[in-house]
Amino acid sequence: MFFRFFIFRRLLVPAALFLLSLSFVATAGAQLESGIVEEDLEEDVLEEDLNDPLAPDADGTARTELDEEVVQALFSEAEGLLVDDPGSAMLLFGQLVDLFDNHLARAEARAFLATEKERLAREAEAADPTAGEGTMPEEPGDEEATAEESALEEPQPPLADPAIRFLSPTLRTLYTRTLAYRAQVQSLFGEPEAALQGLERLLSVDPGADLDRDQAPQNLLKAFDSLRRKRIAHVVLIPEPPDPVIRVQGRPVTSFEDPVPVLSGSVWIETERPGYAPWSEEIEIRPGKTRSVEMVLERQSPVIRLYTRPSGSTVWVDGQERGVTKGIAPPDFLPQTSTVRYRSEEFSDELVIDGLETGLQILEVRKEGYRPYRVELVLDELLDYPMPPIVLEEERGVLALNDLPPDAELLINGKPMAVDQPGARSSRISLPPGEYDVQVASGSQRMFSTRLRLADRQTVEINVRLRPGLAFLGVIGGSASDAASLEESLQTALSRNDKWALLDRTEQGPRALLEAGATAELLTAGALDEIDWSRVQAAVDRKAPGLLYLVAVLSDDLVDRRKSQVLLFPSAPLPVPEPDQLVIDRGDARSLEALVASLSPDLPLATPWLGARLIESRLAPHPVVAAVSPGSPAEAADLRVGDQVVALAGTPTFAPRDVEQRLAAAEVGEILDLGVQSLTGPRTLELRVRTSPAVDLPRNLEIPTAVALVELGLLRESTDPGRRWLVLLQQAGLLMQAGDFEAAVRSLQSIDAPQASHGFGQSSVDYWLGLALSRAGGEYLQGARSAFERAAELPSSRFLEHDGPALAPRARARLTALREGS
Amino acid sequence: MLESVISSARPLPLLALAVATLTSLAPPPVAEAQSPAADRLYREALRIESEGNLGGAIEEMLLVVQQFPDDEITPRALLRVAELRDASGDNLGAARALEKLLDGYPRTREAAAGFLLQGRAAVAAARNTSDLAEARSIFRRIPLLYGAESFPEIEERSEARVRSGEISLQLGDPETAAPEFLAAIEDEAPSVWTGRARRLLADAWLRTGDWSSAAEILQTLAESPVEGPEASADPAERDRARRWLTMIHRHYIRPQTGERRWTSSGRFPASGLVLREPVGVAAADDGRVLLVDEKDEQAILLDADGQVVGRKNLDEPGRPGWADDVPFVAADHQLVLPFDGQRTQFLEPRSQRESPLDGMRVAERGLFGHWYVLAKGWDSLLAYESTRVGQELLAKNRPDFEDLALDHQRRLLLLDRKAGQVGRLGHDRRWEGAVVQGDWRRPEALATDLLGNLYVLDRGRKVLEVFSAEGKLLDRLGPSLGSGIELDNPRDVTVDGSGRILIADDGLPFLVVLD
Repeated sequence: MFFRFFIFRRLLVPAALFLLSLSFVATAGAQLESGIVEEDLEEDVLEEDLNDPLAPDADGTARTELDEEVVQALFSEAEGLLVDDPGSAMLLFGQLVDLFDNHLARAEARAFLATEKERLAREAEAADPTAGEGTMPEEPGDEEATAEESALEEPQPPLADPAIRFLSPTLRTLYTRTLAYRAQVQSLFGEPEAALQGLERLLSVDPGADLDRDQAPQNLLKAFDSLRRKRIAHVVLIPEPPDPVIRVQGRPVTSFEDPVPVLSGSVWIETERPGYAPWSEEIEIRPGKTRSVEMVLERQSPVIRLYTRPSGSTVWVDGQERGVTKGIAPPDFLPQTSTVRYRSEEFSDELVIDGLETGLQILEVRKEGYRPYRVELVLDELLDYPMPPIVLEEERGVLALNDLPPDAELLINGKPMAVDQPGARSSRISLPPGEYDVQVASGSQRMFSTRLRLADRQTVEINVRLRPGLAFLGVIGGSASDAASLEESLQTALSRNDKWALLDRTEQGPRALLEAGATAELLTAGALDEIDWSRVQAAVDRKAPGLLYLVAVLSDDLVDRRKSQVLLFPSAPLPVPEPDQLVIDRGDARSLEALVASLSPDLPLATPWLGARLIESRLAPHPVVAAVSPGSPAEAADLRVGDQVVALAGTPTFAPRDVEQRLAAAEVGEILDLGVQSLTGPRTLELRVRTSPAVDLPRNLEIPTAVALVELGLLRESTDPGRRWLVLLQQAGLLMQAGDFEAAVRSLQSIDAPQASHGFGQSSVDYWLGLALSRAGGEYLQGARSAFERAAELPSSRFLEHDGPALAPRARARLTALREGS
Repeated sequence: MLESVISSARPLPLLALAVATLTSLAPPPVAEAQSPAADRLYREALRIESEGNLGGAIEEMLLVVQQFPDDEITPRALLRVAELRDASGDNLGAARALEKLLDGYPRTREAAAGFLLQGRAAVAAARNTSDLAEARSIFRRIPLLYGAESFPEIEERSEARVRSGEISLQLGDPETAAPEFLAAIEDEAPSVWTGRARRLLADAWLRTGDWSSAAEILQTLAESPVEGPEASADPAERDRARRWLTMIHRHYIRPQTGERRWTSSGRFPASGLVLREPVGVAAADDGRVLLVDEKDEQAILLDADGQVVGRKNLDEPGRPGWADDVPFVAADHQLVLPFDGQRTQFLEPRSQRESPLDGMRVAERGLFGHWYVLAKGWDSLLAYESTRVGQELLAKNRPDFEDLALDHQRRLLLLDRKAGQVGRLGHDRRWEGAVVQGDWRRPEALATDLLGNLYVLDRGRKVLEVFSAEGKLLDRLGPSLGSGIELDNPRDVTVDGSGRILIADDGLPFLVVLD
């Protein structure tokens, strides 16, 4: 126990002192130690350091590293001063030596502490398996002392200077050269004893070290040679087999053709080679002597040697992990046969696997993202088995995109991707396995989006169906759990719609909204009128593009906490004075279904046309014909004013709506029996079904304005020219409803509608133009008057459809209103 | 100056009717105030109001106004104060509250509602066409001041347009009225006012002769949704539209096809009721019928299908009538609301004593809430103000005045037996001359319909003559009416909202119905 305590104190205190001393050393060379930034040496920090000596610094670098580049620079600077300013050179070399020595002492102390800590943890665990790691017993027991002693008694390989192992080969060279130069300048400045001590240190570090024979002072050379004769001996190493790894005094021997210089005395030689039992021996050798050492290693197992492409592959033998390939292949490695097409640096360094049994072995090489390599090996003899270079094939799947338009932009996981054969019916893209977010955009309006998982060797075929893009911008407000739940519900519900390509913009959306001033506070408070929606529109167009935008708001305004608001607005250039606001009930699936349904509007541009005005009257059990339009199906069928429509296609009719509904179910061109009751008696007429061009009042569309505007934009592209005026007219109506009268006027003025003397045509356009101009007010009022006057000219003109409301009296009323207003 | 006398402890219901209708107190919407304290106070006021304590509610509301002048709820509280004061007859207090509302919170929806309240009050107080025009100008301010750009989808604007148009109709200007109704339909959000606007637009177009457009919009109204925002909370509008469509069928479509307007005759009710001496009949727009049996001295109320729903004994019953859906009978010296238990007496003109007017046979209620009374005892036509401040003698020593009726603009029509004509009194109470000149032997009764057609019953010839509003003879019915019905001694005639004619003939034990 006492011994253990002594060891502990003996090393702990200098280590602590050393760390304290660093504050002085670091003044000149703080930057030299990339890992040693001792900004605060308060007690707790110190303790922390000592408790965890190998813990990385804040910047993550290991503590035992010296910055080679900086050391090299300092060394070069000092070397450059040797001739012109040997005094400064001496000072600098002295600092460098201190730096090395301190570093080595500290590394040694830390290594010791780490060993100690590990040992104590093991002991604590053995004493109390439930105890946590790292607890240090205050009073170590006898058993611990025994364990300590036994640990110290374990044979340790002697080293010339054990601490030197903490230096990299480069630093080690710099260290020895520093020692040599410092001794040289010390000698120059008449400090022979110090110089000699330095040379002693030099030889302890590197028994083969020598001075610069051209520059070193003769007296120093003489002293050094004398020292070497007193200290140095040589061993001749004769290994069998001839290529083992040999260490003398712990230092690897790279070439053993020549005798190896060593410090005289006890010399520890050890050697090892994969497949062989390790060999070691301690020999005694006197200064100036040379001794031969034969090392015959005993073969124990077969060995596999292999290179892999790529590096970092895990090697398994008979189901056991046996190592991971690392680094890159040495320059002399040459890929062979089938692997010759790869460059040598694409391969790992050699991995040697020993400790194998003879016989049949299964070798597997694996790496994520690559197809595994597997081979059966027969290791008959205790030999080395070099494998041909192993190339792991990348895992790949194929994404086959059918009907991809030639001008389409393809984004895979947000990155543009080119296809090999644009315009081909099926474009194929090879991709590593994984999850992919595939988006296709064609023009500004049509999109396709899907998420898929691709497995190795799998071909996933996708039919690209371009649809308008519905960008879901996320959920604003509410608790995190409510928001997440709503987002999931909406994603699920919206993805079921057949009309839109659902674009998940939940990452970009909230940020874009916020940047445009649509803050969560305003949205959740329902203060939509305080938001500049055109600015929002511009922001989301840029950052989270779609054709229609949807954002859900867990609003503070809604009394029922289960309710949420859904805001809808279109992309530019469609107007967005304020978004459509829908309220959904999160707990009611029908509410979400209704939302989805509202996104798939039906905007028919034609409607069944009877051509007769029917009214209900208590004087007649069936609808009564009040008027018949010229040129209409009703006129062609000889329906007359005063007739009662008794039945249509066999369905009795008791109200005008019955006739409309039956007509709506008929096919265009179909001939339906029309039963009528005339004054002269019952008649059966033949009604040939025709349609009338039609639009609807915006408020009757029962769909969000934003959706309708977007839908009309799409219809405008796809509708035949003969009916495009209807799209423009409907669009103008919606623009008026959205309050954008000037846009409505522009749309209406661009319409070239049929000039029908009766029914639905240009007069309707004029009427709507009059409305838009009168709403725009001011200078537009005169234009409104003219438009209404034109609309009032034709007494048989109709509004919205051929069977629609009479236009002329409405136009006249509007003219009266304008006169009254003026 | 004479005043009418209230014979019951309750306020005169007929006279108060217009005001009550216009200022009917719907519960105010519950809104959330910005300040929790204001919110509590406001809700407390509503609670007190719901208990019937209007005074207490007003006090609480005024506390909201005083303590939280900047809260969003304050204009609502002020509006409610005005409404409650108005309802409790404190016109001055209501006006003060309104003034404070309109001055202090002019750019609020409540201010728009305040203007509406002001307009309604002006209508209720109107005594002449100028007053009505003034009321219309108040309503017209609302769409101008509270446009859709700043106040989207507020019902106040729709109501203002409808009321403004309604006044134009009453003032005989359907062309000015039509744009108001059209704007309420096409420019405003659907509401309960949409249905009313449709019906009134049809009315306007009927008056300008555009029956086809009227039919179209009435059919739309008849088919309007039962649910949803446009579901006229008033299903009566849909029923009314169906009656008007029937009227259009009868008067515009049937003649086009050569068919007569009335093609059937029958007994009303079909069975179950035997009348002994029916002398008076009046139909409401919805087809309910009030008849008077002189022999039994009874007033009998029938529903549209002829089922008896009420029966009251009366002394010396005169002509029955309807005023704002309430049946009444002029019974010698008093006006009786037989099924409401109310009686109203008018005082003799220029009497220093409070002597009840006697010999009252016919009464009609004019546009401004006043009563026209034909008093046989005085052989005069008198007008009584609804406020009972006095009366006006419109004609005296005219024993040949037989009957009164109101045309579709609620102008008074008077059947003059001696002159053989129907004369009209304008809203300014000036005689506008004869509307119809007839060759009648003993014209007994006069009726009108919503198209302005006039029906004159000639007791002497036992015929009913139908004239257009312009005085053109449209049809002559009787004495033989088909179905074995022969007029014997016809005493009274009426027309319901679908144009169905009912004739009371004291020689027949039933009413005659022509359809």
